[in-house]
Amino acid sequence: MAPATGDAPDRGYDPIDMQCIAAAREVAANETVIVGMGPPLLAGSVAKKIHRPEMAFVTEAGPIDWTPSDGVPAPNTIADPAMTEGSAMVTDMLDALGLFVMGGRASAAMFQAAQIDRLGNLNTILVGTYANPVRRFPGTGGNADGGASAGRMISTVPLESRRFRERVDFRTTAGYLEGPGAREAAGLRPQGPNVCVTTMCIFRFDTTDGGRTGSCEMYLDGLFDGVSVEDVKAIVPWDLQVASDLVLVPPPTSEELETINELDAERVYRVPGRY
Amino acid sequence: MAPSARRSRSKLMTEAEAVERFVHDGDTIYCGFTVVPYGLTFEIIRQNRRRLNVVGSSNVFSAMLLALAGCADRMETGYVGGTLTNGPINEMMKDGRLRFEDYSNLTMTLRFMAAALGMPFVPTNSFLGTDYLTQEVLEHEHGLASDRIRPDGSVAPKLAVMESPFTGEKTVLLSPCRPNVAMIHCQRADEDGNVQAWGPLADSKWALWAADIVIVSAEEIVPSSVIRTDPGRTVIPGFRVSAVVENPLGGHPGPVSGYYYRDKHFFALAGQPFKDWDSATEFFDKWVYGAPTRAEYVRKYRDAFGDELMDDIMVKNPIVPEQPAKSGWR
Repeated sequence: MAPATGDAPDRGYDPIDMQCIAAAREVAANETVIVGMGPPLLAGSVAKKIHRPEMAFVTEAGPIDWTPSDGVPAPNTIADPAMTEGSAMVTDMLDALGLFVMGGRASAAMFQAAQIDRLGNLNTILVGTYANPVRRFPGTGGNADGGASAGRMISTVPLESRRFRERVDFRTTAGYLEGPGAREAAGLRPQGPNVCVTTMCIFRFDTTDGGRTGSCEMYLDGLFDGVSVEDVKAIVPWDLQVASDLVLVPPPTSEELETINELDAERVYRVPGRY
Repeated sequence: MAPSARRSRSKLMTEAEAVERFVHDGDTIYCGFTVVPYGLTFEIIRQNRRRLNVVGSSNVFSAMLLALAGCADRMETGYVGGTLTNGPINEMMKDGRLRFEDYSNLTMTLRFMAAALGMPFVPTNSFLGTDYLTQEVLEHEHGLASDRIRPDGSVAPKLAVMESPFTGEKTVLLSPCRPNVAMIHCQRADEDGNVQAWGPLADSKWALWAADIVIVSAEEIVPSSVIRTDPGRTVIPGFRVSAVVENPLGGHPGPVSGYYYRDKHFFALAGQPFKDWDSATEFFDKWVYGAPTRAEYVRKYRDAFGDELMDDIMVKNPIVPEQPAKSGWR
C-alpha cells in the first residue's frame, strides 16, 4: 500500500482516518443508512455525531435509528448490544435487512469490501476462483443484500492493487453489473449515486440515473491531501478516468479528528489490512 | 398477580443432559449469532457430536469452534467471522473437509422464516446479477448437494431464478432452512421454556421457530409470573421448547445485553486456536475438555485471570425504561 504515515509528512492523521472521515461526509441529509462491519461502523458513527445527526443509523442485527449518548464509542460489531441504549427500535435481522433494506427503505448502504471493480461491483468472499480459492474472507454478511436493495452504495475499500480489479474475482454484491441497463435487466432497482471511498481518494461512477445510462464506470473525483493522480493511476489496473473538475478533499477538521478519536479511542477500526 | 402456567412440566436440565438427549450426529444445528450459547456449544464439543451442519446468517466464533473441533463438517451461512486468516479453517474450506454453501445475512434469515412459516420457498432480490447464480457456484463440489436430495432422489438446486407470475419481475427463490436443533443463550426463561431475549436478536427468533427442537440456556430462570406479566419480551413460548438450562455466563465471551459485555480479552485469547492446529488443541484442552461445566469454566477463568477481568465486563449500570410500560385492561 502506498503512502503510509512513515514516508509522508506527519499530518496528525492516518490515511485510514481520512478515509473514515471522508466516508462520513458522504452521508446525505436525512439519509437512512444500513451500516456494515469494520470502518463503516466508525464512519457512520462520525456522520451521526457531527455531519448528519438526523440520519437513521441501522445495523443488520436489529438496532434501528441508533443515537449515541455522549462518550459512547462506535459499535464494535453490527450486533453490539451497546446500541440498545439510544435506539428508536431494536429488533432483528428480518426487520433490519428485510423490512428496512429489502423493502427499499434504506436510502444508502455503507459497507467495506475486499475488492471492487471498474463498474462498482463488490467482492467480499474470496480471492481466486470459487472452485480454487487462494484465500477465503469472512464473508458477505449483509453486503450482498445492500447491493441488491439499498438506494445507493457507499463502499470503503483501501486503495491497493489487489483490491481494485477490472473484474472482481467473485461478484458478491451488485453495483452496476456489466454496465448501463444491466441492473434493470437483472431485475434490480437502479442504484446511486454510488461512491467508493479509499485510503487515498474518492471515486464516483459515470451515471446520473442509477445505472440506466452513462458508462457506469468508476472515475477519480477527489484526492486526499498529498496524493497525486499518478499515485492513484499507478494502483488502479485499468485506464482510469479523471473528473475534469477533480477536487482536493478537505483534510479532517479538528472536530472530525476529535470525534473519530473519541469514538475509536483504541483504534480498533483503524488497523491497516485488518478489514 | 398473573395466572400461573396451566400445567407445569419442568424442562430444566443440565447442558450435558440437553445435548445428550437432543443433539445427534448428522444434525443440522443453529447455534446463535447475537445470543450465542457458548456453554451449550462447548458441551457439543465435549460430547463429540460428528457430521453436524451448522446453519446461521453469520456463523460466528462458536460455530467455527465446532468446525475446528471436527464436530461440524458443513455449513450454510453468510459470514464466518475473523477465523480464516490462513489458519485451519481456511485450510479446511479450501480442501473440502469443511463443505459449505454461501448465503448472506438476509437470505439465511429468510430461509429460516420460510421454514418457520411452512413456506415451500421464499423470493428475494438478493443475489440477482451476482456470481452466486453461476453454475460453477451452484454446483460446486464442496457444496451440499447431498443435503438437497428430494424425496424422488433427484437433487434440488441451491437457488433458482424465476419471473413473478404477477408482475414479471425476476426474483431469486430460496429454499426453507429447517434445523433439527436450534439453540440460543437468553436473558431469562421459566422452567416451562418460555424464553425472553432482548437486544439485537439477528436471525435467532426465526431459527428457533424453524427448528424441530429448541434448546435454550438462560442467565436466569425466573418464575412464570415474571414472564406472564411482561409477555411482549417472549421470543418463543414454552410449548415449542424442549430444554432449558440455567447457565449464568453461558453466553461468555459474547455479550448478553443487561448482564455482561463482550469480553475482548478472552476473544483475543480465543482467536489463538484459529491460527494453527496446536493452538486449537491447547484451547480445547484447557477451556472445553478441561472445564466440564460452565461453572467450572468460570472458576477456571477467574483462576487464570483474577476476578478483575470478569468483573470488568459485568454490566454495572443497566438501562431500565425511563417510564415502565403499563398494560392491562381493567
